[in-house]
Amino acid sequence: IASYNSVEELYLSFTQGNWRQDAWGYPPTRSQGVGAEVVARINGTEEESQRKWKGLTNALSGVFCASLNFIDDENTSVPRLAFNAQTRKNGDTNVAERHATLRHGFLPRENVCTENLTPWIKQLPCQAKSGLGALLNPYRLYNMHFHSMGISLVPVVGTTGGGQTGLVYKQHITVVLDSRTFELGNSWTLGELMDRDIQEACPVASKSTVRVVIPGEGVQVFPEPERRESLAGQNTYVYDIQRQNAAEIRFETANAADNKEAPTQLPVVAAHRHVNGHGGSGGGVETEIINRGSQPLEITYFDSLPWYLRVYLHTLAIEAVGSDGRATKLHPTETMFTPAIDRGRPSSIELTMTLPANTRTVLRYSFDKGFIKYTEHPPDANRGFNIGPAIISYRSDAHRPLSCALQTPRPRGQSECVVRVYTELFLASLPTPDFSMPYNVITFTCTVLALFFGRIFNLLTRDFAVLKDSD
Amino acid sequence: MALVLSGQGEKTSPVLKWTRKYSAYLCYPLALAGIVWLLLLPLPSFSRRAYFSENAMMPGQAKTAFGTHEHVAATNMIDTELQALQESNKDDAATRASALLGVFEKLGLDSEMQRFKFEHVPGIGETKGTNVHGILRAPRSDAVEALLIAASWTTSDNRTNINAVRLMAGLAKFASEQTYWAKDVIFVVTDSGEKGIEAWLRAYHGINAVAPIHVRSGIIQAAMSLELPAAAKYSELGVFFEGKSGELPNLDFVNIVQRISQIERIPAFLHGMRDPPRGASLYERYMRSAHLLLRQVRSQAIGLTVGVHAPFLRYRIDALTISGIVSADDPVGSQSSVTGGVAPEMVSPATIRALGRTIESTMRSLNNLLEHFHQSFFFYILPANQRYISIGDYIPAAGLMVGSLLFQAMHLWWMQGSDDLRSSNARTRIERMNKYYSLLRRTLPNGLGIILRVHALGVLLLAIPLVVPHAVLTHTTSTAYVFTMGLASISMVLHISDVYWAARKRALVDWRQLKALIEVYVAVALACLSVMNFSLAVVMFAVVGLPLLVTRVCEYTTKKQRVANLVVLLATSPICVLGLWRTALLGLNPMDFASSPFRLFLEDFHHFSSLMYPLLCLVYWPVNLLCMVVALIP
Repeated sequence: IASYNSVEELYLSFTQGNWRQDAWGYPPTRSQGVGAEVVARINGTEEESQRKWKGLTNALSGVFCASLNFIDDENTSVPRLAFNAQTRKNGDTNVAERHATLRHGFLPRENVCTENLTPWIKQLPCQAKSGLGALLNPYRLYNMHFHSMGISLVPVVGTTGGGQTGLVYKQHITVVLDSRTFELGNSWTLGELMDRDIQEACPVASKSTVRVVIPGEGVQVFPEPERRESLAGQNTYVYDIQRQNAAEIRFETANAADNKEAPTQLPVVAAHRHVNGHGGSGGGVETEIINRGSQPLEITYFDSLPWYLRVYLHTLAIEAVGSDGRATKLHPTETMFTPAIDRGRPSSIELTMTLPANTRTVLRYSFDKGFIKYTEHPPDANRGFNIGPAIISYRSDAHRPLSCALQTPRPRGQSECVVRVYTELFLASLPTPDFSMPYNVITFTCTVLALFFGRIFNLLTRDFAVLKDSD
Repeated sequence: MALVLSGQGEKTSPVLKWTRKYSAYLCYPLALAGIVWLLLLPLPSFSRRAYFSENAMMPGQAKTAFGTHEHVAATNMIDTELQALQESNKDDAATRASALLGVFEKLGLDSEMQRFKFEHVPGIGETKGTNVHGILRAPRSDAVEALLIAASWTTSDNRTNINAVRLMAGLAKFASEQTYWAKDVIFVVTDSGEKGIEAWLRAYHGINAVAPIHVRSGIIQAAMSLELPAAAKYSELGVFFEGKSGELPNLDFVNIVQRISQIERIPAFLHGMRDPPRGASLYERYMRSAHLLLRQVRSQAIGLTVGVHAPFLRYRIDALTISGIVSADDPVGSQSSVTGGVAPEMVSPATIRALGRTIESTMRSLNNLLEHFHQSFFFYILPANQRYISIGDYIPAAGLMVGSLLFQAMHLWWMQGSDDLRSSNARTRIERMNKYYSLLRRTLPNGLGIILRVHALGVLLLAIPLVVPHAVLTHTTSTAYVFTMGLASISMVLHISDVYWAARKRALVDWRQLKALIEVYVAVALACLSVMNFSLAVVMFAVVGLPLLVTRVCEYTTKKQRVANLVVLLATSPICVLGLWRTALLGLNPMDFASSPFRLFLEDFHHFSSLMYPLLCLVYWPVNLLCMVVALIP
C-alpha cells in the first residue's frame, strides 16, 4: 500500500480513552487523541498526493476494518509546522524539494473494538498463536481505561548499506488496565492479567524481549530479570521470552491505598482544552497549556476545527499566567491559519510560541456555529459533534519521555525528540432540528401531494366525453 | 392603515364589519372563558398520564448495587475529615471546603476548590463563597459529556444539608468502582446556594471567569441536586423542577425520578405533595391538583423559592432537586435546625441505601442517554404525580385572555371620538373623515406622549438601582426607594390628568384611544410571555390585564364609579400587590417585614438575569399608572 501510494511516512493509530497525564505521566505512545488518527507524508504534486491520500485512507480502512474512508477533504488538514518539526531539524531539506505533502486526518467519533484489533494482530509475525501476541485477549484489552493501537512507517537510512532509505514498519499497542477491575489482588502475573497464557515464543522472530519499566518503589517484579538497564531514567528489567515465559512475570504492588503518590515524573507540558459558552449560536475554545519546566519552552500548537465552527482569528488571545498570578500577553512567533471552506476543508491553526517557565498559558479564540443541512447530520443519535484534539508538540532533549526512549531505530544523529501532547476532545452541539418533525412533514406533504397529483393528473390526461348511443 | 380607516366604516371587509359589530360583546366572555379554562386545568380529565418518551433510558432496568458496607462507610468520611480539621480551629466555611476536598481526593476524584466572590446587588455587598468539585473520570470514554450531582451546604430553608454531602461521598465511592460510565460524573458542593452554583457554572462555561476553574470535563448533560436535611430517616422525597424564569427540565427527567423512586420504595412526589388517597372524591382531587398547580405557578412566575438546580437550566442543562422530606416526629430533624456546630446524626443505613439506589438508578438512566434530552416535553405543567398537561392544552387559556384584550382594544379604537364620527349618514362622509383625521392628529401624539412619559419613569425605576447602588443598600432602603418612586409616580399621574382636565374643552386626549393603545401593548407583551413562561403570563394577566379590562368599562356617569375604579387600580398596584400578597406570592414569612421583594427581584436579575425585575419596572408599574391616567382623564 505504501509504495503504491508513494507514502514516505505513515502513522496510524486508534485510541480510546483519555491519557490522564496527571496520574500516568508521559505516555509511551505518540498519539493520545481519542479517535482514529492518520498522518502520512505522500510524495507527488498537490493533486497527485491528494488523490493518493484518498487511496491510502481507503486502503487502510479496508485493512483495519475501520471507517477511515470517511477521512475526506472535510476533515483532512495539511499541517505545516506541527509535524514537520522532526524532519526540518534533521536538515533534510529534500522533503520540500520533493513536494511531499503531509496530511493529517482525524476521526474523533471512531470507536475502537475487536474488529480493528483482529487485523492488527494478524500482522504480527506469529499472530495470536504464540509469542507475545498470544497475550492479546480482547476481552481484557477492552475492559480498560486507555487503549491505543496503531502502526507506523518511519523512513530510516537502510542498515543494509548504500545509504538507501527504507521504511520501518512498527506496530504498537498501549493499554492501561486496572487490576482491581478483574478482581486480582496486589499480586498478579501478566498471564493472569490478560487471562491468557503463552505456550512458546514466536518461532519466526529473531528476537523477542519484554521490557518492564519499573515506575517507582511500590512495585516488585519476579522473577529476577536477565538484564537490568535504564530506560528514560527509570529502572527497566529485560526478559528474553525465548527463555522465559512472559506470562509468568509476576508483579507485586504495595497496598493500593499506599500507592496513591503522584507519578514520579509529571510531563513538562500538560494541555487541556475545553469549549466555552452554551447555546446554539456561538462559543469559544480555550486551551490551557501548562509549562511545568523551569525553562522557557518552544511549542507548536496545532488545532483543526471543522468548517461549521467558524473561527475568528482576531479573537485569538494568548495569556501566560505565572505562578505569582501575573498575566502577560504572549505573541506567537509564527502563525499559520488556514481558513475553512464550507463543506470543503476544515480551518486549522498552527502557532509557534515560547512558553515562559512555570506558567499556565491560556489560549482563547471564539467561533460561531454554522447551520448544517439536516442531511449532513450523522445518522446516529445526535449528542453533538466530536471535535478532534489539539496537538501540542515540543522538543524534549532529555530522554525522559518513554515514547522517545523507545524510538528505535532513532532517526540518525538525533539527540532530541518531539513529544506530542493531545488535548481532550470537545463536543460541539449545533442547533439541531427535531428530526422527527421533518419526517412528519415529509410524510404528510407527500400524502397530500399524492392525492392532489392523482386527481389533477386524472383530470388532465383523461378526456371525458359523452358517448352517444349511436356510436 | 386599513384598520385605522375602517374604524370609520370605510371600505371594510365583512370580517372587520362583523368583529366591529360584536367586539364589544366578545371581550368579557373571552376573558371569562380564559379564566374558566384555567380553573378547569386541575380536573383529572384535562391531564394525561406521564409516559417515557426516550426509550434509551430504561428507567429502573439496571440492577442497583449501591449499599455495600463500604459505601455506607464512605458516607462517614466527611465527618472524620471535619473532626480532624475542626481541631485546628479554622473558619467554618473554609474548614468544610477543605475537608470535602480531602474526601474527594481520597476517593480518587480529580478535584478542585473554587473561591469566588459575588455581589448581593450590583455594586454592593460582597460575599465570599467556596465551591468544591470532584470529577470522576469515566473509564475509556472521551470525556466530552458529564453528569452532575450538586449540593449546597445549607438547604433552601436554611437547614444543614450534611446528609446530602455524606451521600455524595458514598456515591462517589460507589461510582469509582464501576466501569460502565459513559459520561464523567461531577460532584459539586457549594456553600452559598444558587449563587455558588451560578458562579461555578459561569467559571465552567468560561463566562465572566473571575474565579476560573481548571479541572473540567465535557458538556454537562443533566444535573441533580440533593437536599437532605438532618433526619433519622426519610420516608418520601420531593421533586422540585422549576427554573428561575420558568425554564423547565425535560419531562422525561422528572418522570424517571418519580418512577425510580417508587421502585426503590422511597417515593418522590412533586413538591413533596402526596397524591390524594385512592377513594378520594373529585372535589378532593381537584383541590389537591389546584394546590400543586398554584405552587408551580408561584415558583415559575416568581422564581424566588426554587432550588440549587435552577441555575443549571439557564445553561441548557436539565436539572432538578431531590429533597428529603422530614416527618414532623423525626427525632433528629426536630432537634437540629441550626447549621454548623455539631454535625447532626447520620441517617439510618436503610434510608441511605434507598436514597443511594434511587440516585444510582437515575444516574444509570441518564448514563444511557445517547443524546441530549429532547424527546419529551419541555413545556408542561404537572397537576398530579405522574400526570402532565402539555402546552397544547393550557396555552388556549392565554390565547383567550390575550384575545379579550385585543377585542376590547378594537372596540375602543372604533368608538373613539364623539358619536357623530360614527353616524352612517352618507352625506356627511367627507366631513366625518376630516373630523376623524383631525381627532387623530390632535389626540394621538398626546396619548403616545403619556405612554412614553410613564414608561420613562419605569426606566428610571429600573435604572437607578443599577447606577446608584446605594439606593438599595439594604432591604429597608430599597423599600423606602420603592415608596419614593411610588409617590413620584402618583404625582406624575395626577399632574398628567390635571393638565388634561384643565384643557378638557379642547379634547386633547381621548381615553378610549389611550386605553386601546395600552391594551394592544399589554396583549403583545402577554402573548410573548405566555409561550416562554406561562405561569408568569397568567400572573401578569391577573395583575395587569384584568384591571386594565375593567378600567373605565364605559363612560363614567357618577363620581363613585371613578373612585371605585381607582380603588381597584390601587389595590392591584405593584406596591400593594407585593406588600399585601408577599406571603402568598413569594413564600416569604409573613412576619418577615425586613425583606423587600423589590430587592429580591433585583438580586435575581443581577445574578440570574431573571425576567421579573424588568417586567415589574417596564410593564407592570407603568401599565398600572397608565390605567390610573385612563381613569382620571376627562
